[in-house]
Order: sequence, then structure tokens, then C-alpha cells
Amino acid sequence: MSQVLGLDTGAVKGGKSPLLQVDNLSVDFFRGSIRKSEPVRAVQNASLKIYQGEILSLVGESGSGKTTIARCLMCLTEATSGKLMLGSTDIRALSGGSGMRNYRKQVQMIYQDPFESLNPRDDVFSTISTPIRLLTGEKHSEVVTETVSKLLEEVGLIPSLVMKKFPHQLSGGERQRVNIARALAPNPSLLIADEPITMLDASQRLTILSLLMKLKQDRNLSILLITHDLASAKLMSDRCIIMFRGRIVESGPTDEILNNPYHPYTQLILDTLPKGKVGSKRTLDYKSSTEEVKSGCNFRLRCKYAAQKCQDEDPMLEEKSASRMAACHFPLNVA
Amino acid sequence: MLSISNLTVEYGSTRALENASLNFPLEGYTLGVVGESGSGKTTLGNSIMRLIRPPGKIVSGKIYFNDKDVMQMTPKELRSFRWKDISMIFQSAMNALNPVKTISDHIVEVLREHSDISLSEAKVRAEELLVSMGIPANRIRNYPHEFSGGMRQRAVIAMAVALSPRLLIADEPTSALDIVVQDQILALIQEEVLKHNLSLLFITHEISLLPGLVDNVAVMYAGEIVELGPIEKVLNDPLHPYTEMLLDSLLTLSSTRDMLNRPVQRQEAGFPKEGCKYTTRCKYRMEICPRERPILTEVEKGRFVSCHKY
Repeated sequence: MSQVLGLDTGAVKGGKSPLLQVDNLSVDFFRGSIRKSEPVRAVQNASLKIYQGEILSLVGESGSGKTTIARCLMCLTEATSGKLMLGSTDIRALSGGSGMRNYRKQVQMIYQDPFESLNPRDDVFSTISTPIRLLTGEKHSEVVTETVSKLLEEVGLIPSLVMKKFPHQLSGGERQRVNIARALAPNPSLLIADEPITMLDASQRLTILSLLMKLKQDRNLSILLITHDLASAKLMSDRCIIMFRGRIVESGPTDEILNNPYHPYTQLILDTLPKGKVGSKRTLDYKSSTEEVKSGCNFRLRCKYAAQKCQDEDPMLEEKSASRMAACHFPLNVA
Repeated sequence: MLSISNLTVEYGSTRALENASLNFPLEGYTLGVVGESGSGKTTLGNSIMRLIRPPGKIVSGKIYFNDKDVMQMTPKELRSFRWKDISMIFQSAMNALNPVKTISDHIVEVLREHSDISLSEAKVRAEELLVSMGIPANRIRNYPHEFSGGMRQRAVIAMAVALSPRLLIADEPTSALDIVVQDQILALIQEEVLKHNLSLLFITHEISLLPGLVDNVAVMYAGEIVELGPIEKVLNDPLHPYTEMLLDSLLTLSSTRDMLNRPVQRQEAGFPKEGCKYTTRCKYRMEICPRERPILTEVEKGRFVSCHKY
């Protein structure tokens, strides 16, 4: 595949080169015996770019491959094929040692579940000081303590109150803030936030999003925001990518996608969004299917616009209008 | 009528539910219960079904189903009360199903346990039910692990409505599901409720699921019902400051970035022991609030709130 499947919003970004560039990333998982089974294609030919100081959202339901992309970027899952570059560093070539340490300094992740991503036996101080010691090589304990305090202040916690506390003594929102402080400890340039607000109460969600937005502005941080919620994608990011079953089905400026979706799947998730105010009774207006698709477009069984062409030919992610791409034979709303 | 009065439940020294009172007509009354984790909403649902387990304990209060005292029921009476009069859809469908039984067996068991029906009749009835829930007939002999999350939840709903109960309690039935599947499951629950004119108690932490699904809403905070009323009124004109905050922090497609510019909320320490529990977070705090605990009172027809402002 020679064409560049990335999101090129060159007009907006000028001639700047991206901080992170992913080209044609594919990840296969094997179930059962490797000899017998067919691979599950968790991610297929995904390409994306993130520029310095921007938030890019990756939207999709569970099983769409968004977390797999994040895990590849964190070197927690091995890619099957494709190219992942952070500046001039080839991420797939990293193999421990100082190269990996240097990479981890630049890229950090916030996990979805604040209840499981903190070690229950470590208090807040050691949770945050460990990455400072290991990744930045800081040895003076006073400097480390001061850095931890500063980070806690930055995420809106009161250092004197939480420093010696253990995860079980903190609320979900507080734990997520500790997670963010830990990720910020090595002063990264890219933060991967995997569903950072999903497990939190409504009143805490906005706080965490505001915090991420503030960090982006104060530190010129790039954030890859993984979410299933279009409303938070809209609030946080200028550009967004929609994934379905391992593929990017639509990408472009967030506002344009939400006002005028091209892919029927984007339309579908927009339709299921709660409207906020009192509306009419719920109706079922789409097909459901859990069947695996062997040929053609993998959304076609759930698509109400599916035609013969969708069965015969797999649609490619193509530019449908300036800076907007979609993988659909019959895109909606295209002028 | 299901009536709950002054129900208080404690887990050791923690009070999970405090003085909750609700009157629940058993025909077509739909109520959503919203609150954060730890607000007591699940405890409320579980105590109606008498499912509170030690160290949890119902310390005081009464629950009457029509004229039957639920608190005094013998184990035998409870068996016929559960599923037949009131049934429940649990949050995690996987944990509600027995992994070594087929989906069809679950329904057959519920039918046979609670009503006088032959095995073959029960099997036929189970198939009808499952198919009407949108499960293909060739899948009903499958085991729970062979089902997707949405299909399991459909099976659990089939179990819950198998004996045509009067009241259906749904405890976060969609929180483990994808957005599109969530919408389908909600539509299915609503269909059942409308078809049989059931009453519904829908417990959730997402207030945005409720419009269009229920007619009334109860907002819980720190174990207490702080506001109760018709859903349109509560959503468009919230009375309690906590409800107001909850609605303000709701993320929708019409939210704007100004929302993110509000001062980042600082950490807070526990609920106050005296006075209104919301005092520390409340922007309308008055002199009386930290001293005296407000009680739930009717401030206009059908609308209840527990706040000193009114």
C-alpha cells in the first residue's frame, strides 16, 4: 500500500514535522493454537500523526483496536507490521537499555482504571518518586521530594495530605490525579490517555478533562486521547480518528466530523448519544450483528446503506474532501 | 404499591443509606435513581430485594409490598416474592449467569422454581422468551461465555421478565456495554416495561440515560435522596445544588470548551458529620447548613428536595 493513509492537515500545521508518526500499523493476535487458528486482526493498516502540543482523539467501541494502538506505542504489545516513529526514533527497534529509558521519558500513559493501575502497596510518594529516580536519574532525595510536591500541586492535590496515603485511601478522581502526576514525572512530551474518565463519577470527569487541557497548554504537551465518547472528543481535540473493528473508518477535524459525518458508523454513534434534554422514546433504527465479516467492508452487516459493492470490495481510507478521510464506498454528507 | 419508609442501612460503621422513603405504584411507574459511586443507590435496590448481606444490615425502616411486610418474610416467602413480584437485572450479566448452564436452562430453572409448569412447557416458553429478546433460536443452547456482553444482558432481561413481575429493578444494566449496544438494551428494557405496564426502578450513574426512559428521577448524595420529581422538571430546573452541579458537568455534543475553563476542583475530605452533607461543596451555603440536616420535603406538587434553600 503506497498511498499515505495518515491524516494530513498540512494547511493547519504548516510545514512542521509530526512528533509521532504511525504508518500502516497492523497487529495480529492468535487465539488457541497458532498453527490451527486464524489471526484476530486487532489493528489493520492504521496511520496517524500527532503534532507537538495538540490533542488527537481516537474514538471507537471496545474491540475497535484503540487500546492496542496505545499498547504498541508504549512497547507493551508488539506490532505485526508497520512503522512507528517518535521524531527520529524508530519505536519498534527499541530493545530495552538506554534507548528504551530515553523513550519512556518522552512517552507516558494514563490507564483507564484508576483502581487497578496503582500498586496497592506503594504510597503516593513512592508511586511518583520511582519514575523520577529511574528515568531522570535524580538522586538527591530533597530534589525528588520537591519534584513530587510540585507535581501533586500541578494536578490539584494537596501534597501534605496525600503524600503518605495509599491508593485505597483515595477516591477514584484522586487516584486518577496520582496517575497523571506519575505520568508527568519524567516530563514527557507525549501523553497517551486511555479512557481517562470512563471509570469516574460525573462530577469528577470534567475536572480531569480540564486538568488534561491545562497540562496541554502549560507544558505544550501532546495528548493521544482514547475514548468511546464523542462528546469528550469534541471538547478536547481539534482532530479526531474514528475506529471500527481494527480500522480507521474516518478522520479529520473533530467539529467537521461531528457536524457532518461521512461514515455511517460515525453517524450511528452520533445517533446513540444521549441528547441531554428530555427527548422522545427510544427507537431501534439499525441492524445489529456480531458476525465476523470475511470479505468487503467490515461494517456492512450493520450498515443500513450497504450495497453489493460493499460486499465485493473493501473500501480504502481515502481523502473525501480537504483534510477529511473516510473508508466508505457511499459516504454520507459529501458535497 | 411498594412503600419504603425511613430505610437506613449500615455496613459496619458506614451508613450507606439514610432515611430513604419512596412510594412506588406498581403499574407503569418508572423511576431513575442517579448518584455517584458510594451514594447508596445500589444499596437501595438491594434492600428492596432483601439482598443486603453481612456486614451490611438494615438498621431501621420499613418496606411494604402491597400489604406484605418484606422485612418479616420467611425464606420461603422471599423465594416467591423475588422474581415473581419483583425482579432484578444486575450490573454484570456475566456474574449473574451460571457458567456451567446453558442460557435456556437458566430460564427453565426460573420458570420451574417459581411456577407450576412442566419441563417441556418451560423449555418452549424459554425459547419464546429468548427469541422475543432478540436472541437467535439456534443460540439458546449456548453457554454464557459464548455470548457477547449485549446478548448476555438480553438473556438476563429475559430471566427477569419470565414470571411477569410487577416491578423491575435494573442496577446499572448497561455500564459494561458499548454505546451502541447500550442503546439497544435500553430500548429493550423500555419495550418490556411499556408492553406489560411494569414499574421500573432504574439505577445509574449516568443521568443522561434517563430522559425518554423514565418519568421520574431520584437524585442521591451520600446515602440520602436529595431530590425527587418528574424528570423534565428536574432536568430543566433542578432544585438541589447537587443536581444543578451534576447537570452542569454533563458532557454533551453541545458542550463548549468554556466548561474546561472553570477552576479545577481541589481535593476534599470526607462528608461532614453534622448538618447538610453537601455543605462543603455547595455554592449556596448558608449559615444554617453546617448546623442542621435538611429533610426531604415537598416544595411544589410532586417535587421533593432536601435543602435549606426552600
